[in-house]
Parts: sequence; structure tokens; C-alpha cells
Amino acid sequence: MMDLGGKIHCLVILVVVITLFSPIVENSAGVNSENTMQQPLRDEFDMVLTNVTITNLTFSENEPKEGDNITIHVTVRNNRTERIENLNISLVRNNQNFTVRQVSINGTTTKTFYFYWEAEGGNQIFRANLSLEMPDGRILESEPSVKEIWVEPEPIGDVYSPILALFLVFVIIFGSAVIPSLWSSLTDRNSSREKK
Amino acid sequence: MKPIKEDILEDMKNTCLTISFELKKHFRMKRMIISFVLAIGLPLIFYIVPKVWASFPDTAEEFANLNLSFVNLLIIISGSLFAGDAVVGEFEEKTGLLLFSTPQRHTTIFIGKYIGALLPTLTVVSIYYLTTSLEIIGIYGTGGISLDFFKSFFIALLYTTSAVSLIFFFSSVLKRKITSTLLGFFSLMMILPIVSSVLQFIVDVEPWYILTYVEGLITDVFVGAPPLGGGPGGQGGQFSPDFYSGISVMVVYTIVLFFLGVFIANRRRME
Repeated sequence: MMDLGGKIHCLVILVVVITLFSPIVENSAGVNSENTMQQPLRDEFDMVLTNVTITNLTFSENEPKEGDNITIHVTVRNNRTERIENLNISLVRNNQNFTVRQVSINGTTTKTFYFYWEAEGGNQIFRANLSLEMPDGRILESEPSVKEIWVEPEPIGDVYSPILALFLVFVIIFGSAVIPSLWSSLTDRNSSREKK
Repeated sequence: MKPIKEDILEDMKNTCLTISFELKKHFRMKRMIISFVLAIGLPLIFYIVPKVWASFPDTAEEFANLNLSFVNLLIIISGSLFAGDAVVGEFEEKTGLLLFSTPQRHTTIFIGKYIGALLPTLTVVSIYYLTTSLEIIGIYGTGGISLDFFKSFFIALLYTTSAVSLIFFFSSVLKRKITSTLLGFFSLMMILPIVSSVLQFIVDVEPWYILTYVEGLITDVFVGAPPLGGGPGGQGGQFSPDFYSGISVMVVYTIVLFFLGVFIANRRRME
């Protein structure tokens, strides 16, 4: 049997423990309820689109050359159950905006979108990401998908032109050595004709 | 009156005589040895330094681009060495008193002097490219020598002819060897690149007619390598020279300055 002092002591400890742990219990309860009941709203709190993602970013050619027409495939997966309207797919090439397209995608489906690009030479880094404007004006963005591709640049000029130019230069320089003799013979002939 | 055929042959013979004399002079003055050592030594730096302290670039094109971005330095040095005193030396040292009194035509003397300066400069550039090609073969195998490498080589030879013409022109116009050599050297090394940069970055105009601007084609032909924009006289900019107009500019510089140089030298008289 516990005396009154012991009971009060136990009660105080219980109150202290409840007071200390009550916020943690409340928090965990809140998360659980959100996860189970309000799954799509989670994005709103985090400002990140987690249930709609880019699953693949590919190019129609793996080793393109400058000037080739390339199709960029952006595959988007909607893990939500409801359809999403006005989802923006933006493509950025070498840190410069390439294109933005507004699309819609049904719930729990995967869809591929196509973008067309005339390849420019050199190393190209494409970054695709999704964004969705919420009714309250906030913009939710997905994690970007990044892909790098090397585009073989067009060769500059040809090898024959400098060879031809060099040949021309040598002919003119070496040929100029005979110009004085040709010139003097011509002038000598003219002067002898004049004398006659 | 001599028959024209005989006259032409004599002029050719006299030109060859001047060329061989000039080559012997360059050899005797150790200019040849200095230039050849530079032509082998400069590209070796690009091989030894990465081998000891770092690693080679990923591709042969990148290696060639880096290595050949300094070939214009060699062209300027050897061009100034061989052509800087070609004409002016005869007037300054009064050796022309002996040379110009010979029955040889003055034109053939000056043409021979020009060719005598051009040939060793072309040889030096060829040695530089040969050394670089051996390095590329050693690092990347024979597949590393691409068509772009030969393109770069022929453009470098063409640039050499125009650089020698410019320095030869200064040698014909100026009165002192040192002035002619330094003006030739600094015009290609500093003056023309500065003018080119000012036009590009301040005036926003493409300086397609400036020799040192079109010289960028030597490395620009390596399309697979990122542009360096470095090297002596090299500059990264918003413009890049057009291949065909660049070649035409080099040809025009070579021919016009060569004829002007010969013409002015022919008119000069010993004081």
C-alpha cells in the first residue's frame, strides 16, 4: 500500500511525463493522420511536387551531330489518384530556358512528352523539371532531371583550301623571280622596235 | 640582247644563289639552331609537364589544341629572327655596297632574301608539328592524328607566309635592324591583337581583316576541343574567324606585303 505522500509523488511524476511527451505524441499523430488521410496535400506543405515526377529524360539519338533534328523525350509519372491540370514541364539547356509546355496528366499514369530541337555543337546539359501553380499562387516544383549529351560539331572548312592557298602563294612568290627578266625582255623588244 | 629563256634561267639561278647564301648566313649566326631547339622544346613542355605532375587531356584534339595554341609564338619569334634584318641589314651595315654592285638584278636579291627567310620559318613550324604529332601518337595512338591536325598544319604554314611577309615589309621600310625586328615582333605579338580585341569588345565589330585574328583558325579547326582563348595574341571573344575568309586574308597579306616589300626595297638607295 502506498501512503498519501507516495501517491502525490507518483502523480507529480506522471503529470511531468505527460507534459513533456505530449507535443511529440501530438506531432506524430498529426503526421500519421496526414499520411493516411491527406496524401496529396503533403506537397502543399513541403512546396515540393513529390507525387508527380519525371521518370525519364532521353534523346532520340545518343551520338548526334550538329544540325540533326533531335526529339527529347520527357516521361512523367503521376502517382496521385486524381488528374493534374496545368502542369508545366520546363526544359533548360545550358542554364538557359529552352521551352515550357503546359500539360495535363491522368491519375496513376505515366505519359511521355516530346520536344524537338535542332542540335547545336558541343556539350549540352538539359535540365527538365515540373511545376504546378496552386490556387493560392504558390508554385510547387519537382526535383529536376538532368541529362548531358555531346553533339559532334560540324567540321570547320576543308583541308584542300589551305593547301590550294599555299600552292598559290608559292607559285606567285617563286614566279615573281622571273617577272624582271620577262619585263626587261618585253621593254627591250619595244625599244628595239622603236629604234628600227 | 640575251634570249628570254637564258635571262629567266639566270634570274632563277641568281635567286637560288641568294637563297643558299641567306640559309648559310642563318646557319652561321646560329638562328637555325635556336629556332629548331625551340621547335622541339616548346611542344615537349606540353608532354613532360602533364606526364610528371598531372594527366594528359582526355582526347587527342584537346591535347593538340592546347599544344598548338602556342605555335604562333614560334612563328613570330622565328619570323622575326629570319626576316627581321633581311633587307634593312644590307643598308645598315653597308654590305649592300658589295651586293648591289654585282650584275645580279636587285629584285632577284630581295626575292631570294624573302624566300631565304620563309624556308627556315616553314621548316621550324613543320618541326613543331612533327614533334606534336609524335607526342599524340605516343599518348593516343595513330588514331589521334585527325584530318583537323593537317588542316591546322596547312593553316599554320599559310599564317607563317603572311607573318614573314609583314616582317619583311617592315625590314624594307625601316632604317634599323633592331627597329624592324622589334616592330615585326610586337606588331604580331601585341599591337594587332590589341587592335583586334578593341574592335571586338569595345566597338563590337568583327576584325576579320586583322592577321592575328584570323590566326585563331590554327586551333579553331579542332572542333572537338573546347576553345581556350589563350596563347600569345590569342583572345577569346564573341566572334570567331570564318575559315574561307581567314584563308583569303592570309593570302592577301602574304602577296601584297611581299610585293610591297620587294618594290620598296628595290627603290631604296644606299645613303
